[in-house]
Amino acid sequence: MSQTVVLEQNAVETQSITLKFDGCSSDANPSPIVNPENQSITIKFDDQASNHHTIPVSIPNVDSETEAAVNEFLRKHGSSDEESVRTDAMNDLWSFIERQEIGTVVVLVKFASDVKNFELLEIFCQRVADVIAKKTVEEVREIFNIANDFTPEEEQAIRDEHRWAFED
Amino acid sequence: MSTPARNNLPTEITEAILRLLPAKSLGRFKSVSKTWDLLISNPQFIKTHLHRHKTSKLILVSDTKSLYSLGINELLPYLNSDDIPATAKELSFRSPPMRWEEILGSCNGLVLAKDVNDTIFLMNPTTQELLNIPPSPFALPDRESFVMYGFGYDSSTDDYKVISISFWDTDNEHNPDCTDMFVSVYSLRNNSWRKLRDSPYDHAVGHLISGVLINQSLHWLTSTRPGYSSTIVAFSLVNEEFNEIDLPDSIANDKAVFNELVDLGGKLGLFGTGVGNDLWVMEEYGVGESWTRVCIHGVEIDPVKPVCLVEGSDRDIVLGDEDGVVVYNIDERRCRDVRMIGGPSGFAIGGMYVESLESPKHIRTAP
Repeated sequence: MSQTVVLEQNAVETQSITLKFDGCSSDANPSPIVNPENQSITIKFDDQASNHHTIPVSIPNVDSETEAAVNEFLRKHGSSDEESVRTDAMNDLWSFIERQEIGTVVVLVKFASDVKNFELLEIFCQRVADVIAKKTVEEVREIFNIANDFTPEEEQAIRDEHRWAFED
Repeated sequence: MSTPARNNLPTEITEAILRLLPAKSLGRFKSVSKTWDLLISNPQFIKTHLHRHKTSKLILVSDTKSLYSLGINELLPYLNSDDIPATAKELSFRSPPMRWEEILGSCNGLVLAKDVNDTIFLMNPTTQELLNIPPSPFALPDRESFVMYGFGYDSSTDDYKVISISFWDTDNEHNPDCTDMFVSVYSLRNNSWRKLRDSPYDHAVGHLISGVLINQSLHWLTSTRPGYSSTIVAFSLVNEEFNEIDLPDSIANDKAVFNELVDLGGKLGLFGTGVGNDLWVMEEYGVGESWTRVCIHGVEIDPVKPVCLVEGSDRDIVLGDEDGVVVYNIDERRCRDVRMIGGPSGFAIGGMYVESLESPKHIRTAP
């Protein structure tokens, strides 16, 4: 089954258009069809490059229940072109990951990025964003395993400059 | 955790997640790490973020000369109920507080405003950044002239511009023989004004009002000269020239200039006493035949004026006047009051803005 991706020209400074979903590049080499009217590009992926797997995938670092839920999504989503079936699959997956720990979702983001599955990436990224929006800086560092490479003075300077973000 | 402190996600993925966050979260997360600070401060990221994560607010000027924001995005879940609450929040920039007269324009989260001393400022209400715009060296004397402004973004130079159109107050005998319409443009990047060719149109007819920004052009209702037929002019921020846009056929007469223009979700709108309770929307920019009439029921347009669409719904129009804000649903033909929580008792609606991290200071000092 082929997957269609439509891109719109966001980069106004450069003339080149890269095949990306929100920054994640694809190695697939399809021929793009450019619509000169709105600068959108349609690319059809053939089955070989398709991200719809009918064989279950193995996802490292998650429990079997999570792996099953993702595979169920891939199966259901890939099984039909019908809008309602795909939406159901997305809603089911969304409900499932809402009940998972944020750490698991971050692992899933990495997985979706590695296998270049744009639908999964969109769902998982949105979930991560929803969860971290209200978190503190320290909590975010822990979730993403990021070292604080600011000196205390540097960090304070940034916070002072962005007091508006710490209000309320 | 004793795991090595490394960001495991590819930069592009981190960026994709960050792009989905509200401006406030991003402001905090600049202090997560140097990498995140660079990502979030990147001008390209800021632009794609504001287009991706649209949080719209109305901006109000209170009778007491303060500024307030009113969350429009919040309205979306309540559009089907009878009670539509919205929270107003005072916008403060300096101590002692500024005293504001009028909002002159808004683009990409930046708002151009005039204080009670006629000084122009460019602000980002979300980040509380405030920048003074120097007066134009081409300005006519204050009390002997009129001036109108317009504000917007020029993608060809990645610059924000302020346009001023000024003319002598000839009715009061100030330089009565001079009916020239002087145009000058301010570039934020260059922090300077340039004089442009005079406008051939008569901007003294009709309302003294800021240009309406659609597709990187500023729009005004004016009269052609000679002949004095009404037209819509579009001043392109890119090529800095005036063009004409067709009025709807049925109202194309010499009185059309007395109406008003508005930006409705990126489409040009026209309303006013000349067209009663109709709101005209140009569905396809520049195409005269695409003007579509929307009849508004239950509220009197002018004084209650259309301001914008509810973010996320192109069937709901936000209208308002000094007494309040209402939402009109085109399909239901129904007008409902917005219940303001907090906020001033008397105000004028200045327009709307989106939350963004755009920084006038950084643009002005960019190499």
